[in-house]
Amino acid sequence: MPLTMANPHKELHITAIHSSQDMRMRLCNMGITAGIPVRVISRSPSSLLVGVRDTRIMLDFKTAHQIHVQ
Amino acid sequence: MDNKRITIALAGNPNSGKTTIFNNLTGSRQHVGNYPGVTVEKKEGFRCFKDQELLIVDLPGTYSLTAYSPEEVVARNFVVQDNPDVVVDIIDASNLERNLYLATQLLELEIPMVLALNMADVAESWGIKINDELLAQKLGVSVVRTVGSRNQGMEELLEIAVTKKARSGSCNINYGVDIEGALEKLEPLLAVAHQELKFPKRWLALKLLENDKDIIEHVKKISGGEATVRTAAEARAALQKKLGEDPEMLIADLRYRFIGVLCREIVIAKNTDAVTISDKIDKVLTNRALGLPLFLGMMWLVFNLVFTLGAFPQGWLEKGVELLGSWFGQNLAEGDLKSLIVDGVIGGVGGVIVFLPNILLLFFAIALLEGTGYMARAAFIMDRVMHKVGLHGKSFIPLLLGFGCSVPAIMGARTLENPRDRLVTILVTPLMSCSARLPVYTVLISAFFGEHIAGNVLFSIYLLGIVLAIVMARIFRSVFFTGSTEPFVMELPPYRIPTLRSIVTHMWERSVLYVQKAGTIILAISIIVWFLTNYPSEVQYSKDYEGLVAQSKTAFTVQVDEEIAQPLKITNIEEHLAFQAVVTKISKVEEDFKAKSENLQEGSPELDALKSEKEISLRKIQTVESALYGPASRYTELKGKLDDNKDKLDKEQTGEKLAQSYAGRAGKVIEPIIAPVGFDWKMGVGLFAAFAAKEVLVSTLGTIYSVGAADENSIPLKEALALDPAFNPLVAYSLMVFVLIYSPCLPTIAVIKRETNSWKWAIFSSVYSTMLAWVIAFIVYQGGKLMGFGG
Repeated sequence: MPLTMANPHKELHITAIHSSQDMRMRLCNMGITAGIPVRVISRSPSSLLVGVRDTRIMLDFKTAHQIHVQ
Repeated sequence: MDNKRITIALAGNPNSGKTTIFNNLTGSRQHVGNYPGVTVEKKEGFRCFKDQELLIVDLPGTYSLTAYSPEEVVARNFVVQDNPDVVVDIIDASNLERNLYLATQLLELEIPMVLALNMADVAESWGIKINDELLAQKLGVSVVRTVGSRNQGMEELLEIAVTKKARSGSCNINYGVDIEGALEKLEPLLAVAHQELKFPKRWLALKLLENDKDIIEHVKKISGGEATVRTAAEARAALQKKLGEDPEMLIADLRYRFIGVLCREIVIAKNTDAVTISDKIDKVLTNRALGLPLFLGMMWLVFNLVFTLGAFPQGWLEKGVELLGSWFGQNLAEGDLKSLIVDGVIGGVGGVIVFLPNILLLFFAIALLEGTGYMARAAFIMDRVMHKVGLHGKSFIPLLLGFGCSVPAIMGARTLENPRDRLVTILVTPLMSCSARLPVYTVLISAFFGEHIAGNVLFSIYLLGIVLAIVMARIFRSVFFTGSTEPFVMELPPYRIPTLRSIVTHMWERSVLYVQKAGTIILAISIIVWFLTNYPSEVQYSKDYEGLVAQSKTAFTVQVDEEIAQPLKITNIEEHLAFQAVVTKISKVEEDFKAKSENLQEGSPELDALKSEKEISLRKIQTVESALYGPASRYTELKGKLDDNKDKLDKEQTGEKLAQSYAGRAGKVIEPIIAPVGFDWKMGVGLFAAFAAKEVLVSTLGTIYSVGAADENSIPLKEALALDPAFNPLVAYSLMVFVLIYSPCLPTIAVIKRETNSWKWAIFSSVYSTMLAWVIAFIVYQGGKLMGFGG
């Protein structure tokens, strides 16, 4: 399911990232890649705060929606 | 030991503590400029260590070394083409994996490197133990443990640089059979490129496979380069087909895999519970329902604190300035120089210096919020609101910095990649009330509003600024710069307890700037304003003031003679010691009473108590000096009337002189425009002067109002304002609103021009905000009058 529909504080794994190449590289530079664990810390209608690899990243809703987890 | 200067480049992720380490290493010997051709900031500093001169370059913070942002390109170009003697990669030990992502890329550049394992204290407190020796061994470079916030580890870093012990290390990532095969084919083709561009061949080959736009362009320009690029493109396509993924992504994945293996080997223990303390705090502070109210509450707290805590030292500074003024007033001969120094310089600059405590407190609060990491959360909390106006939370951080000063805030808008977002943010940042306006608010609020609502009035002004910024952003976004919102990704640092040292450093930097500003711009403007309000000095008065004063003095003498001197048979009443002694006693009681009852309300129990006290004291004197008491009392009364009359005439006279001065005439010219918003010409002059720097409004008013007090002890500006009939709480509020909104100061306009690369936007920002200021002040003033608030 998309990250935007995930319940907060549950430890999930990223299965796929359906963004443009540009965005995927940006996310990759920040540490967000397919296969790693991720958890949602907080969310609002316009953005998400997620925890990956020992750090926390704020994403806009649309981008977060393109990240699939399970 | 040769004396050639040694260059150290600092690299690292944003939020890794690089700036702190840079400051530790260079102290105040820093210089900020720009890399040629780009808007990327170039920060350099100097340091002497063991007889060696060191140049320390703070490279822009980057997460990677791709070609997606100018910062990354600048960093990698510098490292390879500018030949620093050593590159220090600053690694946040509490965020190892992601920080090593940059480290591996730096290692692939094959330059002398040292790893600084920074924030080692934080990692330890989280139970993370790192085997730095093993790390050093695996990567082939020295690893130094540092705690930037406590200035630890700096010497070791410098030692390695100075003794040239930095090695170029290697990370030997095996990218797999297919990619390694492609690299092998490309490397020989890149010999010339290596010569010209200085990057290692393997690295260049990797970049070509990654489709790095910057490298491709440069390689194409070299002879034979076009062919090489084509070969690389073919290899890319083949890899994509075979492995089903873009080579760039594959290479990145393999880097992370290498790092994962490395971390498993060097990280000995990890207490994952501790890592989530930040998360727990975030649960509350970024909570959907609680987040925004908590944020607003925090702001309200800060403003009240600034105002109430700052009042004490402010009072002392005020006394100090007063004393300085009177000392000069008494010790200089009458004339222009005395007036210039007392009214112009001390009145002007003094008026602004007294606010240093408030400014310090404000910057302390901002530094505290930044240091703990809460500022970044503000971006998340406000994102919802920002989204509604078409921006995003990232825009809010420059806005928040605008509470300190618009200049760094507008420069901070560089983090917004989208030029449209950046422009809108730049245009509304000045609406976030900067610290220069704080003296204006403080003076007006303490003159016209009671202590109990002072904090709230201040907060209301700041809130108005925030609301207007949001509204104007919305308008700009929908009218001028339409388009959908950009995606964004932003890292939030963990919550930390900042060291007192770092907060004080921040505060100190800012306050030094404030004092500098006072010493230069404000001093200059104060002198100019003094000149404009004192000349022309030959004025045609409507009344013969000197004559009138002489007249009332004569009348006094005659009356005293008739009523007091003759009945008592005293020839020279002024020199009669006994009589004058009684007069002095009575005057003292009256003065005491006046001083203590100043701020009390009519009919209040305190006032009545003071009144009875006064009566008792006077009775006491009467019993002792029964004969002289009656006449002495009458004398005091008459003298009081004489002094009051003289004061009145003096004020009228200086008022007329002021009105006919250059400044006065200029003010009168714009008076019709500003009258509908409640201002008179004096405020007009102030607003005009404040164009140079907002604090100048206070110093200009300081100069204007003490024009009449060059002879007596100068009273604080706030009292002088309260006494002016042109001023009342509604006018004061209208003035504060106007100052909040109208044109940014000159330095800000200059920065806007620089950041937008056009005068058009700089001028636009000045014009639109002044017009907006007029409209809102008009609504406030006329609306307030309708509701009966006018004094």
